[in-house]
Amino acid sequence: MLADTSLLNQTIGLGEPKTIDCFPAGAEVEIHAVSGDRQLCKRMESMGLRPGKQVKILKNRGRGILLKTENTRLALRLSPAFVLEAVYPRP
Amino acid sequence: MTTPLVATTGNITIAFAGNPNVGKTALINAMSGSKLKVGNWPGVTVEKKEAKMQHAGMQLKLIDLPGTYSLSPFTIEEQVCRDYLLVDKPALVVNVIEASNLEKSLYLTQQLMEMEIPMIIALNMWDEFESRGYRFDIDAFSQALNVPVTTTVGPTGKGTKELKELIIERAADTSLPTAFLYPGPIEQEVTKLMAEIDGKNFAKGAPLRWLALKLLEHDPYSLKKIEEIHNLDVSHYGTEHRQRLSEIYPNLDKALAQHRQQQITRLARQVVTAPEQPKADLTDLTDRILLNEWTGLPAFLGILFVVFKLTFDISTPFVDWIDGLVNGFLARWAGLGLEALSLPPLVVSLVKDGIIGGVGLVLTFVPTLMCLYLFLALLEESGYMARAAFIMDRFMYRFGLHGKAFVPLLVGFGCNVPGVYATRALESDTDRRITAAVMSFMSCGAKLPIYALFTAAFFERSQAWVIMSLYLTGIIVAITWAIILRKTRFKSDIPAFVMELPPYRFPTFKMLWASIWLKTRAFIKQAGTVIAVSMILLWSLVNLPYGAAPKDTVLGMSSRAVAPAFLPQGFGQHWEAVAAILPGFMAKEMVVGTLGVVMSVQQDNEPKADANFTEELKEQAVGFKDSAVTAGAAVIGSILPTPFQIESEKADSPLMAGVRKTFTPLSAFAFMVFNLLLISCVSVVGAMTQEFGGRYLGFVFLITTGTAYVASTLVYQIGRLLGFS
Ligand SMILES: Nc1nc2c(ncn2[C@@H]2O[C@H](COP(=O)(O)OP(=O)(O)OP(=O)(O)O)[C@@H](O)[C@H]2O)c(=O)[nH]1
Ligand SMILES: [Mg+2]
Repeated sequence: MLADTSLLNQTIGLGEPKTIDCFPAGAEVEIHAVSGDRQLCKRMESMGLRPGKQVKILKNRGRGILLKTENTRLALRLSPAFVLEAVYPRP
Repeated sequence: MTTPLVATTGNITIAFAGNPNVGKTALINAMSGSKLKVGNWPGVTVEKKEAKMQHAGMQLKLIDLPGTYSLSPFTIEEQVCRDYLLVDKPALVVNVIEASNLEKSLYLTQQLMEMEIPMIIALNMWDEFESRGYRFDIDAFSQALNVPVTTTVGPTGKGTKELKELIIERAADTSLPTAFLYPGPIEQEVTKLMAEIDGKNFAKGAPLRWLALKLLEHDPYSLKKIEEIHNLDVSHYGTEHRQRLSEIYPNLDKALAQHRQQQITRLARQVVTAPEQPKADLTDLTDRILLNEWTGLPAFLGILFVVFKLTFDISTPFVDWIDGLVNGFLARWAGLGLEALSLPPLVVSLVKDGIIGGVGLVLTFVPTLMCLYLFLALLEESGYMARAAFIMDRFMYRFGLHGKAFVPLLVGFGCNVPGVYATRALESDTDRRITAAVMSFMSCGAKLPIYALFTAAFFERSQAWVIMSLYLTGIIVAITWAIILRKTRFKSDIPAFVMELPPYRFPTFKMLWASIWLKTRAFIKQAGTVIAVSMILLWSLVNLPYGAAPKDTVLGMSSRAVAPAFLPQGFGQHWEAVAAILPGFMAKEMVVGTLGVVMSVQQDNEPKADANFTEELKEQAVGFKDSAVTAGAAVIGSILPTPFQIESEKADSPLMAGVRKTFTPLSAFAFMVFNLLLISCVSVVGAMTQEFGGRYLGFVFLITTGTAYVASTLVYQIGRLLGFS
């Protein structure tokens, strides 16, 4: 698992924060920033999408994303009002 | 030690707070023997509920709060929780945490600790946590927060004894949890702000540190709440503090969030140890199939097909049985009884056809509803429903609908009534209203007999295609209206959303039954009254003046009056066609029946000459058994797909001859389109009123009736231009 991620890191470019839909399914990333509508951001943060949190991307369909963080699965629908940036964690 | 405070009162109020779906209610049920509703999805408990119990000579009042992710609430349910903790101030908070989601849960825990209420933490779902092979350092966790911690399993009640002991202990020793500290500069400003607001009226009774933090954050909910309660704008407090901090923290929100998360991560890493070899997770494995690119959609359609088909196959025999019991058996004997009392035929008919018929109609929905509720509950409790919404969202999104709207709409094809109730699964009121508004365009099963009669009379060779085109018309109209409503009346983008997919769990029989029974009872109680009253009203229309020829009843006369309005649709020349529309409003099956009556077609359902009450009662009992057998057979038969069964009328029944005389193929098609798009029946009206209120019903009634009128006119007029007749 770990070896996989670091290999991916090298190919994709380590440490560059990108919006969450840029990561492929299966990637294990760290939330970098939550921005957009303030209310919505607070909501997402309270549901566990906070900077520093490790998440695994289970499905990526562009607008619709399925994430797993700890033992929680979250289905998101992205919109301009809600931008989620993530980054590959440092090994 | 002094005597504990509570021992003298003997009465403790304990609030259970925690994230949604962590098992708060299950835990309370296990402790107190209460029967509050439990379900495997977030947001089961939506209002504050109470359970009482005795322990160690004390009376414990357990308060079940709706699940919440934070104390800066987003939804009404979440406000309930925050307001309760702030205003009612329970003696103790039990923070229920799902051990497998520690980091997520701790976000709320942090905030609860700021409320300055003694606290206990229950690590619930301990069974699931252990089976995943994780380990938890409970002592370290308890020490770090200065909060007693215990492990529990809701459904089995494991660990609740220890929890009770802790509650008694904690109520005596009221030490508070340690406060979560922020970085130095922020703490400084918080302290200053605390001094500033201390003693102020609006700060009385509220936890001071928490309030200072909210003011510093400029938390809109808290500001609004204070303004509501004290009629005081406090938004200027904290402005200068924020300003001072802005040099160090350009984005304070972010800094606070980051700091909180850091503390949470540190604590979680300290106390939770992951297994070396993570076990395969059953939910992940199942999702690999059910949410897979290739198998997900077929699985979804397959599941829906089975649910849908089983619902109607199982319930149909019972519906027929109830129908026979009420309308055949009860109505007949009541009629005979009333006649024996030599009451006027008008009264007999009112009781028999109006009242008993109306109640019977309500009851005939019950088997279908119960079956449907059973399957919906199964889908919901197992955790699949949220996934279905996720799968459908990508399609529904384009039409301005929420992914979760798919299931209610599909249910609507069987019957609009449970469809309207099924919209409850949607969180946002806007989404619910849009979904319910377009529900009527989903051609319900009861409209099928109309299509069957008219297609048999006019489109014998292409019957199936015509019926399919009707269904399709309904769907297209529904999509069009969904888009229009989203762009106009409910002007809003479909919001970004986040939805938790609960883990798959086996539903218990108790959970299923509770869900079915609650909903069915609500239906009988509320929709029942509306339907019964409307039935009596419509009965009067069809039967008064009593004994008059069909064309001279209130219905006949009014249909003759409004018939010209239907000239553009091609069936206005014949009042009989128009007269059939209104009774169709009682139940769509009645359209065909009324056509029969007003066209004075002889009916052959005369009661048997010699009647024997006990014999017939026995027959009813046997009928119930037979229904059960038929339903059982249907369950097996259902697995094999059978196409729509169209009960086609006998080729040359007098009714068909009458219909051929009254309609042309084109006007018949227009008539079908009109009935298709019309709100189905009074039962739907009852359900809509119950769910959304009379005003919204009026609105929906207008758009459906308007659409039906316009669409059928278009069909007839364009059809004529194209040379059809
Ligand atoms: N395996 C397991 N399942 C549990 C446990 N506690 C609760 N459940 C299940 O988890 C689901 C949620 O339980 P609820 O008691 O409704 O949760 P809640 O916290 O009241 O949820 P909301 O009212 O939505 O906030 C149900 O399916 C329960 O049967 C537990 O300790 N172990
Ligand atoms: Mg609950």
